[in-house]
Amino acid sequence: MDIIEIIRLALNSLKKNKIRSFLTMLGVIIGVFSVILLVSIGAGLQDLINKQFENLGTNIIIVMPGKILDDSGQYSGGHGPPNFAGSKLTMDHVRGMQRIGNPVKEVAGRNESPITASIGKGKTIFTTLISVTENYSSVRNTKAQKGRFINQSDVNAGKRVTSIGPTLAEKIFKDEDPIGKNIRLGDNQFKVVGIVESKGGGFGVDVDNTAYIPLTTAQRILNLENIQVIDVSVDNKENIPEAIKLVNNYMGKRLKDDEFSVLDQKQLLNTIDTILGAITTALGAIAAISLLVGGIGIMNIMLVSVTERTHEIGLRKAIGARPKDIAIQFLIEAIFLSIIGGLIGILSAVGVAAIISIYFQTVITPWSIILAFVISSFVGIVFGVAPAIRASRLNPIDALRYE
Amino acid sequence: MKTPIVELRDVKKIYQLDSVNVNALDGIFLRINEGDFSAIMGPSGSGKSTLMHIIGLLDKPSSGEVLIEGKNTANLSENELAKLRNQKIGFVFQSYNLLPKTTSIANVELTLIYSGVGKKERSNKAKDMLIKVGLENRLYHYPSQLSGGQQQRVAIARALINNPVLIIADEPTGNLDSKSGEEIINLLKDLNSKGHTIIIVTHDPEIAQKAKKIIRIKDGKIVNN
Repeated sequence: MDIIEIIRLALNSLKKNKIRSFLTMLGVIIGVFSVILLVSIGAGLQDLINKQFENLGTNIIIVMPGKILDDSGQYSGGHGPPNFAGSKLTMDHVRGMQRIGNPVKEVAGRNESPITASIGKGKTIFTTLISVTENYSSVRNTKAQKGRFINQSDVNAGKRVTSIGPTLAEKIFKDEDPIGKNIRLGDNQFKVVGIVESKGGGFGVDVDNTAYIPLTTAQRILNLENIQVIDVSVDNKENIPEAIKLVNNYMGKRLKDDEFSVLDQKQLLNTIDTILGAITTALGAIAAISLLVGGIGIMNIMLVSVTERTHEIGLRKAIGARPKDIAIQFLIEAIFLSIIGGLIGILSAVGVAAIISIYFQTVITPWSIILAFVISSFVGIVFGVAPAIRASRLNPIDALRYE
Repeated sequence: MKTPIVELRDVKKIYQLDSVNVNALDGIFLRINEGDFSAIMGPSGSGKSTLMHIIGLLDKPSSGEVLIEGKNTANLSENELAKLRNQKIGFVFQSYNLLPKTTSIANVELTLIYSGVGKKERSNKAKDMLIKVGLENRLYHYPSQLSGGQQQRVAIARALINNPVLIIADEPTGNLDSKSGEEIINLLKDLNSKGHTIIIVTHDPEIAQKAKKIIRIKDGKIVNN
């Protein structure tokens, strides 16, 4: 009996038992579909986080107060968060570092603190006050979408002006144009000179609910002598180690070792890697659960049909089928169902992922397709063929009597 | 003396039920010669079905020898046994055992598929055989569209298709009304008159009377031959 005949037998058998074939395929479809889709959502999330961090600015080194890194250059849990309150960083450091020259490009100081915002007798909004020097705009890639950002003359003169984030603008001014209007931040009136571009995202924190004011103004009216963070942009990624050395040198001459830390993206990326690692682990777990669900579906339908099929195997043996004929027929049936089910699963996952991408960019990863396809097919084939092979070894009469 | 179609030598079949051994067949000696039409009779539990299954190579004896055309089957491989079932023996079951959702002609063709017969020849042979058993108008019907008697005719056509040396019918009329049953028996009788060797299991004395020879079996032993 040749292989073409057996293939024909297998396809006939699938055609005759449409519901059984469909249910078996459904297990594969669900397994493949859910793995690919869930992983694509997870990978999309991973991408989103990566991009968000990139948006924060590349080629930047950051000077923070206190000792944040341990001696091996890693974030150290023991030293706690940066010591903002006792910061020894000053405006002089910002101006001084600006004079280091290449590869240091621009230096910007900033303070961040919570504050209330309101106009007239209007509602009070909680927002984040970010006091900056003029270079913040280029170093941190923050531009005005309307009006202008804080500029050098604002900083030099310590003017009471503010550029506000789009969320704050919408909450305070509703439909009105805020430019040129006054806003109360804490106890002081500021004139709105611009609305900054949306930064989006922000992991649960609305990074657009902000008010930027000149750092000098903040120091004057809020009595803040010191600076929490100094951002330093570097002309080129390759020059970051040199820039760190120069900044360390500069700061080391002015402050004690434990009064400042110089961080770069690499260290920031270490933290990101930790987050992404957790996401990847979660993805793996999701994939495993989906495959388990799909696999159980496949197993169930295979086991349910085994009685019926054992009887059929008994009959085929009684009229002269060899064990090999039976095994090959069932193998072909299982492979066929796995491939068709796998393809349907892949196509529907890709389709649904495309629809979800309208709202949230998903990323289809090849490994998830391969993993889902291989494991679902494997489960389908093992549970489809193993009982058949077992039944094909029985005496025909025992298979015929099987219940 | 001519070689018998089937010869059983001291065949025993022992089932183990809850650590108790049941002797379903207890030393059977039997010869079936070419052209025989034998009816095996006996009360239920006498071992007659077990005997049929062993003769039909659907089951293996616990001890003793089964010879088909003088060839001992004890040490044959699965593949050789499959070939014998396919070529030498046609088995008719009480419950027909047709493949569901499969037309009469496809059911009959199934035997030929496992003999490696080509598609066209298969379909011609199956058609001829179904016409022979009187189902010329039921070639493309499914089992669910056929009466019990018609289904059993399909099963007989399937058993006959390879022109086997032996046809074994295990209570072929058991599920049929008396009229259909009689038609089936007459069909078997007719086949016998055309030279087919037939063994039939029944507990209906009227049907057994139509056979040339009656073999009575009780408690796993042949009581008269």
